[in-house]
Amino acid sequence: MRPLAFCVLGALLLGAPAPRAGAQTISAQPPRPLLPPTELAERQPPNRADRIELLATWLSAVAEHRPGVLDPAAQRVLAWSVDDLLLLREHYKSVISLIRQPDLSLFFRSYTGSTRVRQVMYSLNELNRLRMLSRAHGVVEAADLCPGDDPLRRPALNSANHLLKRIAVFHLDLSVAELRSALQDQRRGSSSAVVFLFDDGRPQSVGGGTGHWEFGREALDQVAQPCSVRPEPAKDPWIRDWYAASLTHQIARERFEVTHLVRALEIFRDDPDLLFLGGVVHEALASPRFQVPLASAGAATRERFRVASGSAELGDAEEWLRRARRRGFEGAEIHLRLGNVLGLRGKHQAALPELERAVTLAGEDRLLAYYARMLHGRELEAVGQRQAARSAYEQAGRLFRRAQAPSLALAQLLRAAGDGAAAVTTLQALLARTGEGEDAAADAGAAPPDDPWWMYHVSGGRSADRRFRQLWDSTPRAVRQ
Amino acid sequence: MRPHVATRGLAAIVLCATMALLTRPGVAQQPMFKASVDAVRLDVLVTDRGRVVGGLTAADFDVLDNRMAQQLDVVSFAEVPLVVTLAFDLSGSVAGERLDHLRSAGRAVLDGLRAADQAELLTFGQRVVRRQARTGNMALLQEALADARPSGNTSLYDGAFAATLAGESDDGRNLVLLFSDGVDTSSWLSADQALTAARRANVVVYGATVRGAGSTAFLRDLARHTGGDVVEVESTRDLRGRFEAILSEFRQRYLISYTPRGVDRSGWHEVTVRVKGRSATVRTRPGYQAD
Repeated sequence: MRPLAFCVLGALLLGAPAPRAGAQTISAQPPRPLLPPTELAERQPPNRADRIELLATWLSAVAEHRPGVLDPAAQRVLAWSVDDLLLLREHYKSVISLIRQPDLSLFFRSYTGSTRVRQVMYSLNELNRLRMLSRAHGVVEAADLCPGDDPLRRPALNSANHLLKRIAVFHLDLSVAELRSALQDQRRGSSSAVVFLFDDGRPQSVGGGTGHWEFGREALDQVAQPCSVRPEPAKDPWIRDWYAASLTHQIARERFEVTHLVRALEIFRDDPDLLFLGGVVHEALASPRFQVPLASAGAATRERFRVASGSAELGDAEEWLRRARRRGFEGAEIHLRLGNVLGLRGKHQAALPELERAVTLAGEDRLLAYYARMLHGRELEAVGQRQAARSAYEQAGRLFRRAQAPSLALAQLLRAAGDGAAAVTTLQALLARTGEGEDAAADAGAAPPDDPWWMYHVSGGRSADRRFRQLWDSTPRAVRQ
Repeated sequence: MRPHVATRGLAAIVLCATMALLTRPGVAQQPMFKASVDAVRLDVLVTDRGRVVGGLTAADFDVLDNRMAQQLDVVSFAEVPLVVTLAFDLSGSVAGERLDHLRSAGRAVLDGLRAADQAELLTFGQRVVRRQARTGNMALLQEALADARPSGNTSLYDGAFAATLAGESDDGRNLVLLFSDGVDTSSWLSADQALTAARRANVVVYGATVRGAGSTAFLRDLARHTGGDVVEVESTRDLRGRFEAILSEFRQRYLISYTPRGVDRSGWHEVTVRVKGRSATVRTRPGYQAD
């Protein structure tokens, strides 16, 4: 099968052709699966009976994998079960340990977020095969050798870091490719990672994912500084970029794993970019799209997903966005989102200057300009400035002429002001545009999307494409003996 | 704008009612309608132990407008043509069998309309779409209903706002029949904005939803603000029968008209309607906004 490029992520997730200069195109269509489920279901499972063979097969896939491509290596592992991945997570650290300390013979498994440690036992045969794997994958290019490295006798120290980063990218790519189909439902259950999937306000899958995010996080927790064995992920900007890329992906797909965000901000607590993305995540989690299904699912589910009430999520969003700004995050979008959050919290007077700034800074960014004007209009309306609100809605309507929200906002504004005739005229003009031909074409995906409003939360992840490309370009190249 | 004030509307209703009387021999003499620029219309359902009470006249009603007793101009029963707005949730969750059931229920309503009645079809997924503008041509409506396809998320509040605003008409008694099987996930408007607009609208909203679907609270508020009702079905299979019952019930409502006296001409007016001398249940909208 011809490898499918995971991305251009933005174009794929936002369902649009490559954007033209000065023209932002987005789609209200849901993300399309990258592979049809049947193709994955038909693949052969790995040999679980031999855990070292499973490890070797997986390490080969990690080494073969071309970042950002759903190549045969990725496809093989994508079909593996949660149990396969758990088995791998029991043992791949032994290879990392052997790269860093080739003479090691005792192995212990620790668990993220826990002080519990458990010894992992190997037979002599297994230990010898682990040593072979550590040598096969413990290779770096000459420029990455540390003082004391002897490529002929022992694995290169920095190769552990390189391998861990490749593991993280490999499983990040698998997370991107992972389907929200029945295939995932079949595999869920034993992973502690929880993925919240929904469609049209209904929970579709409320179980665990296959744990690819978790796998990636765990691998990166072990990354040390060059020529060191002491894990210090907070000092590695590549790991920061990995979290930023994965968070934008979660935002773009509305597929959140809150643990991921929590871990990112534990490691990089003052990073403005991650703080901003954290604000965007909490803003999205406060929306009815999540809150309504979670409310009906009960407190235990809410606890499991680590999603608080709508008001608490908005509070978190405000906090993260303010912290991001204090740490130097700039641009129209942070003013836009902070303004939205403040408005939703009833702080209309505080929201107004943020949204005014967003309007000013949005400049030629048509999408942000649209959001900024709509939300500015909403806040102006909230403080009784109806004429200014009307102007804001009209300006937004001129940016996306087929958008419904500006017309609905105007009609509502006029109705509230007592001008029912004008409200009806505005609404009728909108409804006249929704002829069956246009709608049928749009429903079939043949027409451009009508209204960016429907993608407001998803748009917070529109930098995913750029971030992924940067990450892939900077991922260490695999070198094997 | 006076949202509940009959001007051309009452004139049209007078004409319709008069024609109905003239063309139906043997019908008892009904009170004639009188056009007035300040008249308020109320759509009223009167029941007694669950049964619709018919045959009442203006003399049987007490109407209080901001606690001030009013003299009724007109009371009509079942003679005024209907203007029905079908507002259906066609989001992605309404597919397959659900869609078939919804279409069947919609067809039942259209089949139940009479020659002078009109209808309109709006749908909402994430977008609000007018599938067929108001018409008395039921074939066009049936065709539009058959062609409608579900997609996207649910803009329930946007759809409800559009239905109550577009559903207002001076051509008859305005019924909005709104079905949703889910929760709002993509509206621009808030629930409060949709409800506030509904309070000003001269329509009666009957909401229908599937039990446990999550939209019941909003639909109940919408019905309460407009004097309508909400039905919850166990399965969309039950929609057809419930829609037929709603249409039948709506035809048995009284249209009351009065010209407010002794009250301010602005602001929110609380309206109370009672039937004299009997313990009947009266359902109508709780008031109107005079601008």
